[in-house]
Amino acid sequence: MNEPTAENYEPENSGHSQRVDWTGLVNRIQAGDPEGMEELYRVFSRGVRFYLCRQLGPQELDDKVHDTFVIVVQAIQRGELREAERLMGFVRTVVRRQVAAFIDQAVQARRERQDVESGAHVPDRRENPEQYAIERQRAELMRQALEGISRRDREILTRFYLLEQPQEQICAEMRLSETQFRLLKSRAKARFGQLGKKRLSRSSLMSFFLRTNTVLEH
Amino acid sequence: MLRDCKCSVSEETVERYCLGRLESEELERFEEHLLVCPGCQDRVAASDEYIAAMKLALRDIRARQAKPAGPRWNPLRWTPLLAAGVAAAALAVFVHFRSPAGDPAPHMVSLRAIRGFEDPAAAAPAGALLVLKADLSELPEMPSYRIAIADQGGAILWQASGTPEQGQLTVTLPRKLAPGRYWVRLLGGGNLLREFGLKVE
Ligand SMILES: [Zn+2]
Repeated sequence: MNEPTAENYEPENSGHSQRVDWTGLVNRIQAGDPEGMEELYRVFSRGVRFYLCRQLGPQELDDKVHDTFVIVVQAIQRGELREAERLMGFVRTVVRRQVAAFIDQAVQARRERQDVESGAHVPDRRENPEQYAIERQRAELMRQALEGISRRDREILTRFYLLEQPQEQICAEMRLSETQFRLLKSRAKARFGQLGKKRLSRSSLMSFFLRTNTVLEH
Repeated sequence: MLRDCKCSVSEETVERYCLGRLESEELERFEEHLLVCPGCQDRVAASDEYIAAMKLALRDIRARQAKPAGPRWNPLRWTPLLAAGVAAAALAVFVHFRSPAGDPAPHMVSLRAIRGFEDPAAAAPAGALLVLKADLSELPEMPSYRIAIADQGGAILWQASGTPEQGQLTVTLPRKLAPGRYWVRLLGGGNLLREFGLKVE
């Protein structure tokens, strides 16, 4: 497979295809050029926001995105990024560290809260009833789609998605070729898609994420 | 509507990413790309939704199938042959779902950090032997981790250490859990790394 790299990346959110000059970008950020920082934000903001939202949920997302960019810019200015071509990997490392730190903080905070409240109920993290309702509605559609397929096909999907068995194991045990396995999965997806097209709206997570894709403010 | 994604990442790669099955190098490459490709961000969001719906629906179907069916016919009308057939089928189901040692087949519980600190839907049947599989992605690599089960009030009920394999830690609980809410804590190097909710019903 021809995997994407820094060299063949063309940002789609720029409105037109253009290659990013990573070295020039890093040089401008190091020099404190505001246009360099704007470009960094334009290239990465949607992706950083998406990654953080997917891992941590939408709470205080703007602050988290902002903090991440501050860390990236400061690290670049301190000269911690030695190869400009590695900028994407560098941003990824910072974002992953941010996710780990936020999780750690939240777990510690919850533990302290539990200690103080001596066994009080910890609220469910399913904070958004609208989101939950959409997920249940989608699952109900899926259930209808799955009940229309054979028991054997359902077992294969159960093994793959629910029991998380590797594809190789499923194919061996269910006597399936790789192509049959892929076809079964894509048929299930198409079936769900047809039902869903008629009845579902976009997820609130995605629309939230798109709505709040704002520009960096200093 | 998904935006037109012109990049070369396959659907299979996107799905494997969403299922947490990309290996380190491939994961690194894809996540770097994901940071700058809105098309793939849309595809991952759609795939996350699809997988979440699939899991919930499959779980529902399994739960419905596990419930004993109510009497829909008059037992007096059963012929002895039919009764013998039903008994044989029941025995087959019994054999299928029980291990040679006589315990029920273990139930796999996936504990994944996704769109939040833990998957709120992690649920398991009461009375089953549970195999807990914790997702270690985003966590510092360690030679071993510790898993602890706490009750709703935070009291530790059981704990054990395990060695990670392919970014996951799998442990089998030696005892069954009564219905209720629990916390599954993942510890490493003496620190609490992650906490997942678990509902046993
Ligand atoms: Zn892409």
